[in-house]
Amino acid sequence: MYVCVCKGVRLSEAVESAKRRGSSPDDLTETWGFDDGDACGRCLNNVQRISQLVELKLEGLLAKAG
Amino acid sequence: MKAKEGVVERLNNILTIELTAINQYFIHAEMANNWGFPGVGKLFRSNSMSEMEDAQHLIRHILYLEGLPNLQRLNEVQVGESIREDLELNLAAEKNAVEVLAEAIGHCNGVGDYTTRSILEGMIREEEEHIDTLETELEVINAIGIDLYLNRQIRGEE
Repeated sequence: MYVCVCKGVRLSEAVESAKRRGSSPDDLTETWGFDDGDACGRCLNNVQRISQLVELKLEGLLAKAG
Repeated sequence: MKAKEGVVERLNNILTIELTAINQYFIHAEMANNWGFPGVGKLFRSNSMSEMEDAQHLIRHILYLEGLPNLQRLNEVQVGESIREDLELNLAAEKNAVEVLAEAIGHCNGVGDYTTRSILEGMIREEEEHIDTLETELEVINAIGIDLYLNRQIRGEE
């Protein structure tokens, strides 16, 4: 699923980036530019939910690996 | 004709849902075609057109009630990374639309706006048909497996 349509960010890509650059709302905003001039603003409003989705996915991956 | 209390607001909320659904189905249709699955692409496109007709009815009815249709507002367009995901996202969107329509029908009944109620009843029937179709597609996937299902979509079988 795409977590941000205007930037074309897939959940899998957000999870990959979170492994290196963090999954907090601030980390995701900085990595994907949710607050820049090209963004529609919707993702920035939803960044808390996106961060939770990414963290859930990361926990799932860790549980699988562990 | 002047609208009864709360009717135009509800019609505009439903219009937002319809406008979102037009875009969501449309991008799913084009992505399905791009991935080489015109069968399910045709279904998504047809649903997009059906939602557009609903939007047109709503716009005309809001204007008839001397309100202003809000075409500026959209909910989040949900885009999946696979056909199954798109089917599930559309199913969730249709179920939400039915809930909102049902509440609006109840409201119109309460305030005595039977014309709007009748229009919304037609729409809820259509949305339930969409739900039925999407559920059937997902049941077919569960029954025959995603590979066989997608194989049928390459040739565009119904």
